[in-house]
Amino acid sequence: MSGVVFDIAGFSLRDGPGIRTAVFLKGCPLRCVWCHNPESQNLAPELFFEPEKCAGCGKCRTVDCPVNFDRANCVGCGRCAAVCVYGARRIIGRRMTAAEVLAAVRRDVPFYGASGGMTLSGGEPLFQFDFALELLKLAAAEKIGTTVVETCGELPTEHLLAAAEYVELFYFDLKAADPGLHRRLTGRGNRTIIGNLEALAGTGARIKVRCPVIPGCNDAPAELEAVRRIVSGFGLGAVEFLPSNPAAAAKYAGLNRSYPAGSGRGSTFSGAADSSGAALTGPVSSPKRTDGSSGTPE
Amino acid sequence: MTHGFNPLGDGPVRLSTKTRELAWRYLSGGFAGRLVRAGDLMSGATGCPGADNQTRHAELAARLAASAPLEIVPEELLAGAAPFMEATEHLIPGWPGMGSISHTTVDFGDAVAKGLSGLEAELAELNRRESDPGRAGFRRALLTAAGAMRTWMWRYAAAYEDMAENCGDDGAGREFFFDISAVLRRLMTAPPSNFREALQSFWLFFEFQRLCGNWSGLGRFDLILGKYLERDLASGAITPGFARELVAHFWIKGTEWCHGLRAGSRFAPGSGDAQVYQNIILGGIDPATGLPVENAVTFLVLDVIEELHISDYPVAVRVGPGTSEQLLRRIAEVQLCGGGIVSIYNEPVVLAGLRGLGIPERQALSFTNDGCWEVIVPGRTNFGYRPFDALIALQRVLFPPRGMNSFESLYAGFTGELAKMCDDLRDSIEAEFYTGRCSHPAAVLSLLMPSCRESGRSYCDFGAEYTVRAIHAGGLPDVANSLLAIKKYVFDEKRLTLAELSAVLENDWHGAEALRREIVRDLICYGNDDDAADAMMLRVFNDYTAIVAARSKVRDVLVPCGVSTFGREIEFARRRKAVAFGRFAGEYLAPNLSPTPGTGRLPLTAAIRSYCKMDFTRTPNGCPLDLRLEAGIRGTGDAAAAVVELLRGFIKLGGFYLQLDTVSVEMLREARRDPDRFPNLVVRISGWSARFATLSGEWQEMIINRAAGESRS
Repeated sequence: MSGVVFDIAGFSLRDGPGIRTAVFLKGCPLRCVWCHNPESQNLAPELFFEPEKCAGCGKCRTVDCPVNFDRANCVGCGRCAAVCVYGARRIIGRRMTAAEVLAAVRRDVPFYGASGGMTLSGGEPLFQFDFALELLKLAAAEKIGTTVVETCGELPTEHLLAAAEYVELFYFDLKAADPGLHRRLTGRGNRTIIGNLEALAGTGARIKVRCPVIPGCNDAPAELEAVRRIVSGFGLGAVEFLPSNPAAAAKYAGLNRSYPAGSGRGSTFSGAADSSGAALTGPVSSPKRTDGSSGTPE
Repeated sequence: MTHGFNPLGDGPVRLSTKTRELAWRYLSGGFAGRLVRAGDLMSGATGCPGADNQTRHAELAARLAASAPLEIVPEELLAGAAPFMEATEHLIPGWPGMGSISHTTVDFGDAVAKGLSGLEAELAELNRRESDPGRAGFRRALLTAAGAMRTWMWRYAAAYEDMAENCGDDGAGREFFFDISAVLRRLMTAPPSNFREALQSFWLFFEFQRLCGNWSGLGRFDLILGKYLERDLASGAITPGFARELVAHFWIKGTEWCHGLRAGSRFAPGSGDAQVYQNIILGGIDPATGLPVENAVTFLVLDVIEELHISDYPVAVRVGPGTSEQLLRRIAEVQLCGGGIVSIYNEPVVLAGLRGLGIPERQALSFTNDGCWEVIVPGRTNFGYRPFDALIALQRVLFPPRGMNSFESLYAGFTGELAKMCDDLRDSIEAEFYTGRCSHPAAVLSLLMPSCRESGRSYCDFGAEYTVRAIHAGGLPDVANSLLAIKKYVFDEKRLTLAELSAVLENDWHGAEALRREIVRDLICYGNDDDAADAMMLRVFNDYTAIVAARSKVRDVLVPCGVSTFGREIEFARRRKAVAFGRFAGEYLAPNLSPTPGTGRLPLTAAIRSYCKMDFTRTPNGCPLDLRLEAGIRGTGDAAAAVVELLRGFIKLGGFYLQLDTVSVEMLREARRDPDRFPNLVVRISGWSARFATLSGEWQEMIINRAAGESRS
């Protein structure tokens, strides 16, 4: 069994209790306008380009590119990244077997103690359901610490409940109470998400509900209160309201996408995602060249 | 007025305002500004004509004790100061140009338990049975030194009495000064009977050897003092709060030489104003009982460090199977305060190394260090070390390459050069001890060394039971990374010949930037828990330690193996050419056995795992790992619990010594720009810590570069 992983972060202290190894899986059904991990959204590996690292050596232009250097149609084959010794081009995401991922997670077993362990994050980790479930089962079978899943909740209920058997703690995002607002901000309504939260709460699973608070988007007191009400209605504890992360713009540029949240903190997030996410993955019309393929130093 | 001590943020306030104010004055250089020069007290001095150096030293101590200005700060709870400038310069005050002794720890536990009069009685008794006139004469010199200390104590006692009598209607003041005077007078004739007396006694012994210029470590603080405090607390004779104030004053007075001056000032050395090798050990097994030491003193010390952020004394905790959860947690909490002030030893590994060196069990169990982390038996060791840069051994075979057509022949050339360098160091050790009798003045330290008193010989003349000159290699991770690169690119992939690589490195990568970049991008170095990289590190480590172990004695001098840099990265950098793993000439490379900064691809747990693949019983003198935690960790959940698990993992995996710093690179840069805003920003150097603002520009640069390079994903 294999899946696409875009990062494995050891010594993580922000993804659950204790020292954790956070496994970030690619692919997400939502397109949140503030998403600070845009490289997690698409399932397939993709090219990331950092122009400030480009020395203009031109080596990337010498490879056999299957799309003739048309960044908009890049298939993430990685040939140009392989020859980029300056690290300006790299491929985000690689296919790994569950055994490979577990081997990486297992390395920090001496540091997990009673509370640490593996966290599956993303993207939406259960978007690659079979792979994620395999990882959870293997970790449970080996008793590798405690297992945490960070989920957006937008997935088939049976997937969520099947995973819950192997999860000690869920971080469950509820991004807006108002269905229309939720759709505008994430590209999807919240009916499935709220339904899944209720179903999961019904199993007695340990859940911490989190809500990213985005200025100008979902920070109206009435909206936040509505989120609180939904959560308390399921008998769950306090909602953790998280501050927004304004540092994601560079990542979108690196992926050749526009930053849907605009200029960052404090701005009004008027842009909205569409349900296909197409607006986020298409080419950008930018006055500044972003693919660095001309062979000329910038 | 309330001062902040830690720029990362102050912790709980437990000490009185008066004590915090006193700490601030000391740390601001208020007392170092009053240091005086002893000048030349040797010329024209009376005394026995033709006296040997130990007798002359003891007589000098008597003159210093009789003439030293008495520094009395009315609100201080402990008496005694070491006000001679020469002492801060590692010289014997009054003896122009004569160096003093550091890098050892005398047996303060023995001195406190016996008291000054006990030491004198022991010397008299030993001399009563002595038939050798030389030894008897030496012990008489020690008795003179003891008498000098008595004179100095008497002067303080009298001065405090004068102050009491001048208190007028201030009854509380009178009582306060009389109390101190009474303690001093009691200690002149008897060992301490309670915690306050024991602490004062410890301070007096420590301070007297500092008065005479020496820089001994302090040793096992909680083992020495714990029994007094536990007894007093149980009987209600002292409150925990007052005990904490007393301990705080011990710490504050230890900073009396901190001048706070910026580098380039009158007498500011490059390495800061708080590097006088006065290490303290906490925890560990008590040799007398075989039980772990953990008492009220242990925790009060950590309270004081947490609150006042005083970095000298550096504190190392011996962590073993008996260490409590509570102590581990307190260590972690203080480590999160930054500065690397509290580090840990893995006690079972250290003990195994000492046993391997032939140290008897009870003495091994008493281990402390010499001031940073080099392991010694306190009170019985004359210690020194011979550092060298192992990367130079590799440079010798690379520049120019001498017809090596396989990696194995290159490697053999390297180990041959390594062996030669170690032999040269052994020759220098032989020359130090066997080209004449060492007569370096050491009467004051010898007084505090049981084995010197017993043997009737000076510290420098084999009076210490163990005379140790350890061999310490630096740069081993840089050697391993270089060899990895050479093996891969020259011998396995044949991308260039050894001669071509040698020319490229000689040229500092000029004209080969693309290759250099490729190597930096692709070569996985030591410190990432990578099997191939760590196997190379292990090979280098094992061969180096085998070379040293092959001749671990030079006649009577023990020559154990160690690994260190101690900040010598700066000195090493000047002789280093570019290295094959993609670094330029003169870069600051690996500290101790820590990964080379900038080579980390994985978080610091990977660095610990890589380091712990070595067998540290092969480095009985020590082999530290020093790492940086991002300051941001302080804001995450239960960060202390995570650090506890980090410490546990380190112990479980068999590490030797770990110094963890918590620091923000941005704050370091800011402190460099505006030092006056960060006068007490403490940074880890390497087994010891320094106040950043008092480091020279070169040292600050090294610390900033290293911290930036240590950033891991």
